Amino acid sequence: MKVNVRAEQNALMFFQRSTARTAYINGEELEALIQWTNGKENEFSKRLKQLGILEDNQKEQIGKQALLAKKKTAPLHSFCAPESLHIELTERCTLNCPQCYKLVSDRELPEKVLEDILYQAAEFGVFQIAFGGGEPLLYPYLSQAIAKTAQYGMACSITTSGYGLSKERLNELKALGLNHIQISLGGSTKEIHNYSRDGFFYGIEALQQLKQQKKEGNLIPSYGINWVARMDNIDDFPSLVNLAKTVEAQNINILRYKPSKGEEYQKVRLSKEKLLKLATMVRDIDGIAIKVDSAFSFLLCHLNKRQGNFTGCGAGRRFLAIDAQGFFKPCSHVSLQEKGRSLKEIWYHSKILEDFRQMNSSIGMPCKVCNYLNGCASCRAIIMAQRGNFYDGDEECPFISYCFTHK
Amino acid sequence: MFIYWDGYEIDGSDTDFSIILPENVQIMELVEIFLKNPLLDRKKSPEITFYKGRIRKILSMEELRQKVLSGDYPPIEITINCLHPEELEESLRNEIYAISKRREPKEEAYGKVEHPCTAPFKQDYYTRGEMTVVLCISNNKITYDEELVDGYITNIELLQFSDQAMPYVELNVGPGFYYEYAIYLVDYLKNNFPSIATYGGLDCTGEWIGGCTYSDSLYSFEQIELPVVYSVKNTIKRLLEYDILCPAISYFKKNKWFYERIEEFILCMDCPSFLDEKRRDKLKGYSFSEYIQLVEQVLNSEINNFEIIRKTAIHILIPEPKNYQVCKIAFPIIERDMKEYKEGNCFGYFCFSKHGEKIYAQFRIFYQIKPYFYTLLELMQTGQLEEIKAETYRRRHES
Repeated sequence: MKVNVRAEQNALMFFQRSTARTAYINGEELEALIQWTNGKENEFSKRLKQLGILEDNQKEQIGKQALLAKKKTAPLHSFCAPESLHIELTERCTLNCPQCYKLVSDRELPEKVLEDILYQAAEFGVFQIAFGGGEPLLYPYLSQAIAKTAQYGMACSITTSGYGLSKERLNELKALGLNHIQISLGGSTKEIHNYSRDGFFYGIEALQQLKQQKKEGNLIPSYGINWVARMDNIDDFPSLVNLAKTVEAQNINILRYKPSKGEEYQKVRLSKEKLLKLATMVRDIDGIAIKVDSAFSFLLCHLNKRQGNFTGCGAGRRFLAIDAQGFFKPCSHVSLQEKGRSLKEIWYHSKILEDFRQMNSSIGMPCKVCNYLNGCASCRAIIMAQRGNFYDGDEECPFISYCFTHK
Repeated sequence: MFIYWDGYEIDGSDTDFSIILPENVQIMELVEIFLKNPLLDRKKSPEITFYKGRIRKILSMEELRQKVLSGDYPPIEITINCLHPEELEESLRNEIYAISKRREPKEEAYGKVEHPCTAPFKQDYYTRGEMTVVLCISNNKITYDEELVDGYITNIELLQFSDQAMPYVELNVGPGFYYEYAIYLVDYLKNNFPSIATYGGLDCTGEWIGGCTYSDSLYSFEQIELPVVYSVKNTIKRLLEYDILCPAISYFKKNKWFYERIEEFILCMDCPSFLDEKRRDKLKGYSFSEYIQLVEQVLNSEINNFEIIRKTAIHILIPEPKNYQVCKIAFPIIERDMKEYKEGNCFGYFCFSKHGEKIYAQFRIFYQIKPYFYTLLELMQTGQLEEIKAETYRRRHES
């Protein structure tokens, strides 16, 4: 069975591992689906099958989950379980990236701890595991981690600089069940890349390896490029897009710059003018999917001219992070952490997560009056690091004034 | 609600949706699902158009997809025709007719027509049943307006209580579009997208039926079939002799439709839309023997029944009661049943049909005039109209 299904509060969630399609169904659609479980095929159930979200052998399972959904209660503004876990496998890294926000050390997530987390995640209904680091390819139990994740029926991705991603390693990881690789690049050239990162050629070689494997018709994970938008690389973005298309990457994920230890935030983060420029550039792109870090949700709202369902800061609402020490965190960019209890208990009873979930009701100006507040809410990691107050609004957002006029 | 999004999670980035909004994905999905509706003529590709200034541009499906998923597109129209009711699979046709039960108010003809049918020609002739549907999509959003929400209203709370304007699509059909077709089109989308809200569908006078001059109905005509026993020639000859079959032509003159009796056979499919008096004179008619030859040719070809009907259909007038004054015994019976014989009821169609290997001569007449017509047929079959044969013979040979 390739589709995972999970009961939510009066709803069902589905996840198709091979296509990474997530679906949320409630209301009348859920009723139509329940009718299907009772033997009444209908146009909506046919549509779901067409979308790859439904399979005929799932009737019984979905019927049971639908009954369970009537009794489920989700934490405020969240799902009953995280869609994904972001797991920092190791703090080890051979690179020396100027913008790195992490402490480099030899610390690694113990294998047994990881096994337990993966087991709990599967039991809890988590759909995806996103592995990172440090450099996850340096983690000695990476193969076991990927294999276990796949065995438990969850999708699996890694974010990497590309260091050590040989053809053999790539094939091994794919065979074990790796679904997606995201390669971090700072720019289309070594010079620009080096403003923020290290190891340009590892990334380029990894991407070329992936392209080559694809060309040879080998089964490989899908792949994309992570790119942090900064003042010193924003003008390189069109070239990066061309590079991404050349290596046939499926996506470029635009991340918002987060405060790092070695750089001055105000000099590196995009100015309002450059944010507007980025919006214009993104609007003109075709031929490759553009993803957006939810710290940049105001960009998404501006481009789409509306807020989406389930968009905005997902920390503690849609995902949970776990660091190399085994601490639970709402997001890998914040320092707030908890340890010792089970995944489920943290998800339902963590005070830190509760603060993240209800922040919209207490958030300050200018976000407070923005039409897109519920679809954005900006980035707490940046707000806390820069302003020290969890509930402050985001004055860096250049789109708020637009929201006023459209109110 | 049903929402879906694609993408693997990436560590270190709480990834939001990609720039493609789920609603844009769903609008494109709606278009694709709409185009699979079995009511539509899927043998022809839809016409996809938009305006750039005053210039009309055409798009392919792939170009449409790219525009919609980009989220930035002008209003786009997707135009496609529906199939004629008689081109539908039987189960679908039954489903369509079953929708009539839900129609409020019921049209007058509902329940009174035993074998309902419509005009036996397709979209390329003015059918008064206009078969074209236009699906309009745009980037615009809509808010609830109590004054505009009327017609086929479902789940309107979705719009009414939404805190932001909502994406929408429009289905446009001509004023003569069948009610049942319109409901089926909307219901098909609702069945695929259960929580969408719908409203609209009233014609220019604010009604579902009869409000507009051109509104049409699935119950326009009653279908009456007479088995061909000896030959097509014999059947036609007999019907002509007894003046049951009165070939006619229909044309537009001084803002009105005229029906004129003629001696030759002019096929409906040879008549252009809005045939006027000038073009009427240029039409080619078939003589008796030529028409028989045509019918036999059509009946022997490998085409479906509706095509046979369509290719043999002619306009007819229902014979006037006074024509039968020479039938001394039959005329009082005819007079008794002629109540509904009025100018508006006295035209119809004649054609041939085939069910399996059996051939039928088929009349399509208004249901109101059915008792009168049945009376004529019965009188013909019981030999009580013999006197008229001399009249019809003389008329045919004098013309």
